[in-house]
Amino acid sequence: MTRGAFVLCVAATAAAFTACAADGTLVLRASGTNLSVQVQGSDKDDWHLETAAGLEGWAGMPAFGTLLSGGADAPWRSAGDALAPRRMFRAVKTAGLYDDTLLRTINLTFTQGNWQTLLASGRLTGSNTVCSLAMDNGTFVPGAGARYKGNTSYTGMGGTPPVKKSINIEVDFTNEAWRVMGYKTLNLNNAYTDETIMREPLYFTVMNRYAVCPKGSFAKLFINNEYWGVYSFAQQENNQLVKEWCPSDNGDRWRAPNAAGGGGFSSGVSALMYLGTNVASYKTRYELKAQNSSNPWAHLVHATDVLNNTPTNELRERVEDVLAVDRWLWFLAIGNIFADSDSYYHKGADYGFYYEPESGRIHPIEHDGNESLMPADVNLTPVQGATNTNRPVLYRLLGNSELRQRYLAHMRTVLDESFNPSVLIPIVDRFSALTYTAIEQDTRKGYTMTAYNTDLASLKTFIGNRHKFLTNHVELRPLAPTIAAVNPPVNPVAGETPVVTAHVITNGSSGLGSVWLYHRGASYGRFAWARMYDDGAHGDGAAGDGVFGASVSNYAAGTTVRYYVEARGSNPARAAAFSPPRAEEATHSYRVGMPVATNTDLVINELMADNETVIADPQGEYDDWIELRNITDHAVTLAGRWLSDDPDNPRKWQFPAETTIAPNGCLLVWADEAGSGVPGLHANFKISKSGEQIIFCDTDANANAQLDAVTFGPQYKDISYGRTSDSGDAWDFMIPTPGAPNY
Amino acid sequence: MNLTMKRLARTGLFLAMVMAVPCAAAMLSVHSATDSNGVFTYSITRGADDALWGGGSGALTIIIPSFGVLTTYDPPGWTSSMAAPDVVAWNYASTGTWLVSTMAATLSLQSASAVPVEYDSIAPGAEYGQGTLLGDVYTTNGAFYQSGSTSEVCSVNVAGYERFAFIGPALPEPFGCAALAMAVLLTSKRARGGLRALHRRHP
Repeated sequence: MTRGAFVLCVAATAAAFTACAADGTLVLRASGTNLSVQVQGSDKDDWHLETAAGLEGWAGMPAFGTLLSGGADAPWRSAGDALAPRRMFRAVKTAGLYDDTLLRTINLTFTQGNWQTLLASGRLTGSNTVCSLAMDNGTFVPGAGARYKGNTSYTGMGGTPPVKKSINIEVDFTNEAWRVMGYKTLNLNNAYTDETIMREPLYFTVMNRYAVCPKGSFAKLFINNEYWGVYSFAQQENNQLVKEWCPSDNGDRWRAPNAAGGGGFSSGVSALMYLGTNVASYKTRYELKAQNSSNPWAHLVHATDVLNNTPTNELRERVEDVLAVDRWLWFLAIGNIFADSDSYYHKGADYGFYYEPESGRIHPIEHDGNESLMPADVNLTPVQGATNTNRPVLYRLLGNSELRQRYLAHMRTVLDESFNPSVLIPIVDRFSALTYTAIEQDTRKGYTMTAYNTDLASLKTFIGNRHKFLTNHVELRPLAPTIAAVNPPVNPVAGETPVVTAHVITNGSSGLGSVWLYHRGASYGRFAWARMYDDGAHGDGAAGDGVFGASVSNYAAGTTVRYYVEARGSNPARAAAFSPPRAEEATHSYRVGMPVATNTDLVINELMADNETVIADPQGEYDDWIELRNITDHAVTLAGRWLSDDPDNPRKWQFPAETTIAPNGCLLVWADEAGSGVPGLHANFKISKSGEQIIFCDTDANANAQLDAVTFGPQYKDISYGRTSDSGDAWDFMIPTPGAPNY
Repeated sequence: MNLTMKRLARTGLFLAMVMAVPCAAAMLSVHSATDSNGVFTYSITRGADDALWGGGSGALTIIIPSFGVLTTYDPPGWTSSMAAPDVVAWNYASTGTWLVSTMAATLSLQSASAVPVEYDSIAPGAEYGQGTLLGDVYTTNGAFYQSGSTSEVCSVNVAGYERFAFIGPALPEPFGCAALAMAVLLTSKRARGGLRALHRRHP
């Protein structure tokens, strides 16, 4: 007698006790003795699945696969049988689609017999061929679009039978809503000329830490169940990438293609040279990949004009307004370290750039990396292109001694923490271990594993020799001072002048020339700068003690101020060091607090977070509301004052200029997220009925001093929470009196 | 112990006895009892381990294979169903979280067979297969058990299962089997609604 199969699902709920912030919940299901697991969470994530006999010993447990998370319809993965006395299961989130510890498997299925012809045609016309896409983590897209891509990587990888070509996959080809873990375009690059297939992932892995660069990893490709080998799996250079690095993707984006418009690499016509005011000259040299402004070419013309034609003594100041200078320096430095032949210094082309409308500045975007780490370029000078007038970004920026030292400081940072053989070669070994067997099984790669091993050894030798060459180069040898410590202002509040201090010491022959503080009050845009002094008069303690101080601008309450410090040597090079070393990509930061007003003419008087029937707003909607009360006998203006439900952002919603409250009067603000609806005052937030804080603060001119605040717990339907006496400090639940005194 | 119990069961000496079969696993303890009239009762409590099994609605299931089930008795907050022929599954289906703690969850069933036998096999499709608890792992404070290190982002919960041996109704001998099947058929027809209706008749 045997049992019939049965299916049971155990769906975990995190309702009562959620002890960590992980956004995935493991679901275990039994069908007879067969177990399956599912992870409920974001469809942008996938998870390593792990199992253990007990609650200890997870570390080092091999994952039994990755699994995409999602809603109730998320994929399931077999988890073996339930015959052991006990088993535990957990899921560990991967680093995302481009997790470089994973060798993804992608299956494309074409129904068309001539799919290769169609994909080849699509490379020239841009047309896609429909296919289904499945991944080993359970992802399935029924109608993606695919086409071959590339130039030399396409023509160079010929052969019969056809060897693998690079493929572009548009996930959203037949349905705009479809994504693969949040991405709508996938690239499978054939790593032309790179037997190890890891040059691009290596390059991207490092560049991605410092500058706008696609993520890179690896994938095995099957087409109609036939194995096509290992590919470099690279993030698409598109607006999604831009959005990961910039405040929005609302700007214009270009690609500088290989020597477009003729002239060859040496001409530099796609290298941001100034080509006059006629935009037609630019249109033949640059591809506008995304247009969001009415006249994107004007931005480009202006930027090239400033870059190329600004007098040298004005360039340092003016170029920051049109180029994200520091980001360009990281981009150029890493391209040089990796000796990337598809780079700005070499081609003056084959890169992308983005106009950030919020700052008016252009950012570089790395494009590809399969021709990086080439042995022939091991002795490439670190300032290659700095004397080439056809490479104006290098020529002009590195022509400025201060920016040249910044570029070299960035190089030192990368050489120390990323391109150091002790760091990079273990990554090479990890990538090789991850892909070796799959490359060995690839019959279409067009080379032997002997060639692979030779190239792998060559790659490692290159890394060692390139590091040695650069660290001993005359440009990079001068020592910079050491920034031993940087201290933020103590309890900074708006209206006060905060001081940042830095302890700087000389480093061997570096000497100590000057120390500089850079700061900004947003996550983007240029930094303001100020010199720091050790004279005892800049909040720096005693004079001559090595501690330098400078004042930061008086930013508004709630602002996160990003800042970093530069110390320049007094040696002939004026070699520079930064804290943090990855500035400006990484910064120190502090938050500007709110001072508390000593007195106030207005108070928060009553609020309702669960209004179902009490009072409707002028639009007829029963929204949350907050009541303010004028506790004086004269009218008070609210112009410029702020209301918020976020202590970290007290300047969330500002009262319109014309807003006043009559003597001893009350005023209702609808907390409905409308922000600016009329008639009525509509804040851009709602009130949580489970409780939170409401903050009322003064104008920017008055340092956003906190005028009043109330913290409350869970609220009841149609019951308000208010002051129990007129302008008193005690609060309690009450019968609502919107727009009127509370008693 | 197991052999002795099986022998006892087959000689009918288990009748009217109340038995306890604590399972060996660390997080779970299952005590079985029978009244000699076909009612089998299972008392589910925590084991010696510091961690507990538990779950919110739909996240805690106890599966008990059992022959000749006529009806089940569910503790408050639990619902039972026949997951397969001769397999009962109790699901926690209420608000909040049920922790398998020292306060027992008591599950009962009425079988047409009153002869007790130990269900202790782990082989797939075995005649007397063990029961299984599926759920999430909690700390004694009622929080999800945390498995990850600070460098990992782990699922909110650790889920898992634990097998356990128990005493249940024995499969009748061939003659008895036919009689048992007839008894079940007649009883079910009288109930005119199957298991759930039977449950209402024997609250």
